Amino acid sequence: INYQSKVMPHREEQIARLQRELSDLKRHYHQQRVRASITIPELVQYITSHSNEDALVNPTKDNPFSPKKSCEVL
Amino acid sequence: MEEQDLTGEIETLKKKLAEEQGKLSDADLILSCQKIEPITQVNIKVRKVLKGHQGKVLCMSWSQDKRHLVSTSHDGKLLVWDAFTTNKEHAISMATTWVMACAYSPSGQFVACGGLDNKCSIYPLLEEEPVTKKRLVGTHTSYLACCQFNTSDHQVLTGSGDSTCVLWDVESGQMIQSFHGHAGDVQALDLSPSESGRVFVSAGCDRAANVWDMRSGQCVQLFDSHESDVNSVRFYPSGDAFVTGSDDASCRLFDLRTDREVAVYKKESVLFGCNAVDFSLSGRLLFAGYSDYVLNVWDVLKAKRVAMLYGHENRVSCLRVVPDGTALAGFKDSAA
Repeated sequence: INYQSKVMPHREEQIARLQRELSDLKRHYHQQRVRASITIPELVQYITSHSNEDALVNPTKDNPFSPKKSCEVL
Repeated sequence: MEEQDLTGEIETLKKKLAEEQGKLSDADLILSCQKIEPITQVNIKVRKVLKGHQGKVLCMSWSQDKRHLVSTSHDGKLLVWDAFTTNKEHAISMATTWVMACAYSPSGQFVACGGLDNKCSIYPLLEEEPVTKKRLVGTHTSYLACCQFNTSDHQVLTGSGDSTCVLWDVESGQMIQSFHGHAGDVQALDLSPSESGRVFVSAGCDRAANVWDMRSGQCVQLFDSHESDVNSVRFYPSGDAFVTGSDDASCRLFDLRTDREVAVYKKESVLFGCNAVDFSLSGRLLFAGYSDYVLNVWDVLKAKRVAMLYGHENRVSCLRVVPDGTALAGFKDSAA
């Protein structure tokens, strides 16, 4: 059995994987970030400005899923 | 470079990254929202029951027409439903079992799906017999866990048990881009609603959620604060954040621009893994399905549970809010 050929490829794969992990991490580290004091109010603002349209928060009468009324015009 | 040197550099850089992230953490979501009116009641009722699957329902996807949906099961069936009438419009028997992934195409003309066959296949719904016109989109080296059409009917993004995601061209069956970086099975993915075609997030058994640049194939951000497998991931409607659901019984909200976890949705009494997550239209409500037969509804801004929805006999395996936000469908076994 060529022990070397069984061990080496695995180790090379491991090293390649770690190198990719390191380069991904470097990219992540150098990313531009925005202060939470700016991003969080904007996340909240999205919700408050869309709440009226959100039928599961503010139910409206036109619910396409609710049962039809019993009287129909024929 | 030797393995040890690499591992050492990685550990050091992780600490530096945490420091950088900490510097900009000058506001707290929950504290910022103390003056906002809490959600006092959630009036959600079971309106329709879609019965027809014999086996466990593993995946579902709404059509952009806000009325049709596709669901797939462990016994190899794909069903297309009219959710208004509860009629089944198509029933396709797949050649494989455990169809864990399915997606409705933006035009509504196709459904893509796959599972233990390691393949993503597409079926044209307008044909007389869709099963005869099935086309192979792509093949992984392990099971297909999730798939989504990328902005049009021409491209599909897949996530697999082989730990990779791939963007495929439907017509040619060619790989446009592959995404390597997860250290375990990919379980879920979601495309950015704001960076359409440019950014997506994936999550998996390595406890991580990875954010990807679709053009370069590179992972640009990685969040690994979960304590167990991450089963589900969904973008916040603005595209600036995403939520995950995990076997560690918590859901977490990650703010992409500040590059941090900003909320955890958990409770001592919630012990079972979360398998599926989705937001209501505005992002105010987080719907989360768990392995203990329950669908918990969380107030995103207060990190408090506001309702528990029952109505399923078993584990909630998948759920999706319809595109116009008027309803929510959750599957386990035969019922929605």
